[in-house]
Amino acid sequence: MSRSKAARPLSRTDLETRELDGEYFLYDPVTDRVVLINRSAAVILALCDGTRLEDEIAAEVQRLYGSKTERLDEDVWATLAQFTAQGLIGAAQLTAQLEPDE
Amino acid sequence: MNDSCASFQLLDRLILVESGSPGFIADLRRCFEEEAAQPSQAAGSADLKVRVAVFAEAGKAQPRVEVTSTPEKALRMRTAFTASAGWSVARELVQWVVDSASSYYVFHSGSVARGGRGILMPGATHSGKSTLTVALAQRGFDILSDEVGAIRVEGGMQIGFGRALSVRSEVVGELGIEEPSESGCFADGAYILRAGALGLSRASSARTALVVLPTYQGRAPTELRALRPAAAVMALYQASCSQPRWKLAGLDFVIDLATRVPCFELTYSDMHEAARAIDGTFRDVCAREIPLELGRARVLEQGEPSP
Repeated sequence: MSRSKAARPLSRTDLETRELDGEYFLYDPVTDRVVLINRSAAVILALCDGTRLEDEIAAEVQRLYGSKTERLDEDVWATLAQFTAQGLIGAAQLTAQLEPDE
Repeated sequence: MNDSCASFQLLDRLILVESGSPGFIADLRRCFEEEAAQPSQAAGSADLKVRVAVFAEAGKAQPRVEVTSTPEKALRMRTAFTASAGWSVARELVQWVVDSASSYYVFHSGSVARGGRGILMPGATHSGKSTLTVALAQRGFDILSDEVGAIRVEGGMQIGFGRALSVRSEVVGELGIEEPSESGCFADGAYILRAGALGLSRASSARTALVVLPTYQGRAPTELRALRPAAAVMALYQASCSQPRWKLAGLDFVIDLATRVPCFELTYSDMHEAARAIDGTFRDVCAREIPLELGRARVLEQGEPSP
């Protein structure tokens, strides 16, 4: 399924988080699965609050890390795609449908 | 010995199995290290009672087996086995114990101990848990289990699990084990063997000092690498049998274990080299620990012999 950058990803609120040495475990109480993410991915997930477009999340990540590269944008979108595949950002697809085409 | 029933103590569960088939009861006994108590004593206090009916079917060489359990103590029903009936029922009993053990966190894991300290070896099927368990026992470790690595949640002790060993036929020769001649001791491509029959010793409990996650890879050199705690957590979590019961508390337990205990991943093809490497790492880990009885230390007087 293709992803629209017009989506406003929203992370699930029922995930439990544990931190260990700068890495984060996300515990999904529905599936009993655990996903391990690094600090950068945790920052991206934290920005998925349903108010930012994917482009805005990428821009915010670039601002936080003080660099602007196409590669970083691609990393952010790839991470968001993984979050969607893992079921960590539930509303992204729905929001995408509601956004007008750019 | 009663040939119509047998009882087994596994973790904190007492199981009584009854059958009109003495052959089946004998077969089942071979699947466990020892019996718990006289069946007459177990009858009143058993946590699970299972009745097994064995009968011949016309035109079939193998007996048909039906298992029922008392309704209030549910055992997943298996209505028919045509081969290895004792081992199949034993596996069901082990699964029931693991699922119902409320005081233990259980890994799909080999488990050995020496000097009161334990090694947990969680791994997938065919990773070599049983082989390494036996190979380490041949180097002087005591066996807790080759399959069920149980840790008491309160206190964190590794606890022995009295199922017999299941050693794959292709490694029996390499381990120097004589192929057992008793019938009914072979199931799922493995020999079912009691530790005592192999001259190996068992332990009842130990404090976990080392976690090794083995992977067998044909022709791979033996390599034991320290795992960062987060990676160890994920590997331990995948080897867990207890998650359906423990949920988030289970993740917390695994994180606690992985941060307290050194965790290594092992790739190997030679079981003896692998056992040697694990043994060496275990010695290093134990040597780095602060002696538990440090409080008893005192400075000896000049010339006083060391106790």
